[in-house]
Amino acid sequence: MKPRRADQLSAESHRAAVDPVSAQLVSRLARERSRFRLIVHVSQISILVVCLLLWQWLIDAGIGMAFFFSRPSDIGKFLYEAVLTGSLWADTAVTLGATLIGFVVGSVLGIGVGLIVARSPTLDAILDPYLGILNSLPRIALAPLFLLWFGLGISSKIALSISLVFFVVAINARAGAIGVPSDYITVARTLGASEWQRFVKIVVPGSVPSIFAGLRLGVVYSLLGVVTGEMIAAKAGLGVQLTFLAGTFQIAGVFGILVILAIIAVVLNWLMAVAESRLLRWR
Amino acid sequence: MLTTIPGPCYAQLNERLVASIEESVTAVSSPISPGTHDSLDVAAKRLRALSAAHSSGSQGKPAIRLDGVTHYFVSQNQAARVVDDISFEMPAGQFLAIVGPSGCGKTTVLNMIAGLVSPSVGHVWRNGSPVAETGRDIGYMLARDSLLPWRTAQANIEMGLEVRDVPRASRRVTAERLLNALSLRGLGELYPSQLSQGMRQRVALARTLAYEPAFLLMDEPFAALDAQTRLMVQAEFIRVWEGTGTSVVFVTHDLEEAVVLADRVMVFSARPARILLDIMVPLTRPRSVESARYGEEFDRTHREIWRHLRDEVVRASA
Ligand SMILES: Nc1ncnc2c1ncn2[C@@H]1O[C@H](COP(=O)(O)OP(=O)(O)OP(=O)(O)O)[C@@H](O)[C@H]1O
Ligand SMILES: Nc1ncnc2c1ncn2[C@@H]1O[C@H](COP(=O)(O)OP(=O)(O)OP(=O)(O)O)[C@@H](O)[C@H]1O
Ligand SMILES: [Mg+2]
Ligand SMILES: [Mg+2]
Repeated sequence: MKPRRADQLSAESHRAAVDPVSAQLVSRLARERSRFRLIVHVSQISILVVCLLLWQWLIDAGIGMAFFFSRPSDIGKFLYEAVLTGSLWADTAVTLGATLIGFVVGSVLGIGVGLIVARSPTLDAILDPYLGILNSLPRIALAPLFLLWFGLGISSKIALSISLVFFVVAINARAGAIGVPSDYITVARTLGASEWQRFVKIVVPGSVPSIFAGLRLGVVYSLLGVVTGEMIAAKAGLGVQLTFLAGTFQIAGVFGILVILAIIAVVLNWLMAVAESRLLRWR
Repeated sequence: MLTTIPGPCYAQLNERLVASIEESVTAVSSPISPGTHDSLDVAAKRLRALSAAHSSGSQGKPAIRLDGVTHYFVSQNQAARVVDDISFEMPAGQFLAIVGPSGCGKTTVLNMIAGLVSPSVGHVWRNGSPVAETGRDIGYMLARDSLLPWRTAQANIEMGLEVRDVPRASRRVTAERLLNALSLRGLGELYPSQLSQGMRQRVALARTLAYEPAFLLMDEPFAALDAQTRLMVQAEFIRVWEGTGTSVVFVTHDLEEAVVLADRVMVFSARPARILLDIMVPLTRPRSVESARYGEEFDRTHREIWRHLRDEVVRASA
């Protein structure tokens, strides 16, 4: 009797102690992940540094012409001075503001219209060619009209941005809503969900992956629309500065603006990725 | 001993039975051993539920009635008849199992009872009123588990309660109870993609049971379970169900399951579906899912069903 009990006890305490293989696997997964991240980040930074050094060297060695291509050191100097004097803050704020407003308004309208259209096959069939044609129309060509209608202020850029964001988001939201598996709708019906509940609890969450695909494009399009609008005609904004600097052959400044635009794009994309991973945790 | 007695004189008989059982329960309630009392109590509760269902506005009306139901699936160039003139009545609280060759129209019939499909010809009634929409009195289990992938197991189970505006705290309690009852303890926070097939199927069962529907319509609900889990879930399901007076229509390919669980078994013909056989299972309630499979009555019923089904399966695959 006694030895058996002792055996059982030791087996139990063994099992109760932290499973050594499991602990090993967990720490190995963590190690592999951090190694992966390290490799990726180091490579990314190396590529950037090598490119900049190559660029700098090509110009310094007189192989490329500084007048047309500028060089990293000059671009850095431009940005440093811009930050010190704060000369670009106002323009950056205008561009960023218009981008965000255009994106939010265009997305909200796009999601709404996309989901509503998807709910009615008849409406969908009727509107299909219009959405398709308007989405393939180069919206930048609308810029002159928007300038006439809304003037040189912020609203014409926002209008241009909305015209780009709206369609890409609407089309993705529609595709998402139509693609929600019919089994899920059936389940909701048998659970007694009203039409509105089916919409809120099935159609909307079921379309989230597709809506996010649209939103990720939408952010990029919004910035594109705003900067293009500013380059055509506006009172203020990074696009205005860009045309001015290019027109006066200040190439370092042009690259400097591009760097600022790239930073804005990266930050906006990152925010989208964070929101997406929050909402799509179940994947 | 205490079986329900279906058939045309079902209602009156049951009333008499309820009266006599209630008498005996009150008469023997104090000196009797707890086990016996429990089973008597369960039977009485069930019969009371049955008679309540009968007297609540729909006196003598069957819980489910199909009358000359025929269904065609219509495509561009043809209309295929998949259900052919099916009529039957089912009293409240009955457990009906439907078996038949693959593709014969069982799911279609279940969908018509659920209100998901409306018959091309004929009518379906639930609780005495014609079925138009799905309504809030049914629980339906699809053959595919069809959990919502963006909801955790717990949130999936709570879905039906949420739709009925049940407060969060009491939803939680119900979900917790069902997770425990179906051996899913501690899995509530996992998403469907993190669960095994059998776990998903059990979560789907919990979701269906959570809001205690008056009708359970189940399409091969346990087909995806491994043999051992299936036994466990069948037993648990019967234990939960036997106290409730819920009417069940249960589609299955597993004859043993049909006989062990059901009060009544129907065999459908190969497509288009017609009723080939409609028999009562002569096993008593409350019933043990494990021991019900051994015995002369089980064998006889099983053999009878198989005799009818075998020819149809051969015919369906010919
Ligand atoms: N939406 C549909 N459109 C056209 N035909 C259909 C449709 N749904 C089912 N059918 C046909 O109707 C017949 C019956 O289908 P049903 O799903 O009811 O069969 P079942 O008895 O449930 O089969 P199984 O046992 O394989 O699940 C099948 O032959 C199928 O091809
Ligand atoms: N991708 C995953 N992430 C986390 N846990 C998982 C994942 N896939 C499976 N599991 C877990 O691993 C265990 C085994 O899963 P598996 O699918 O191998 O079971 P199974 O024996 O095939 O079960 P069943 O008989 O029900 O199909 C389960 O507890 C499940 O929750
Ligand atoms: Mg089926
Ligand atoms: Mg498996």
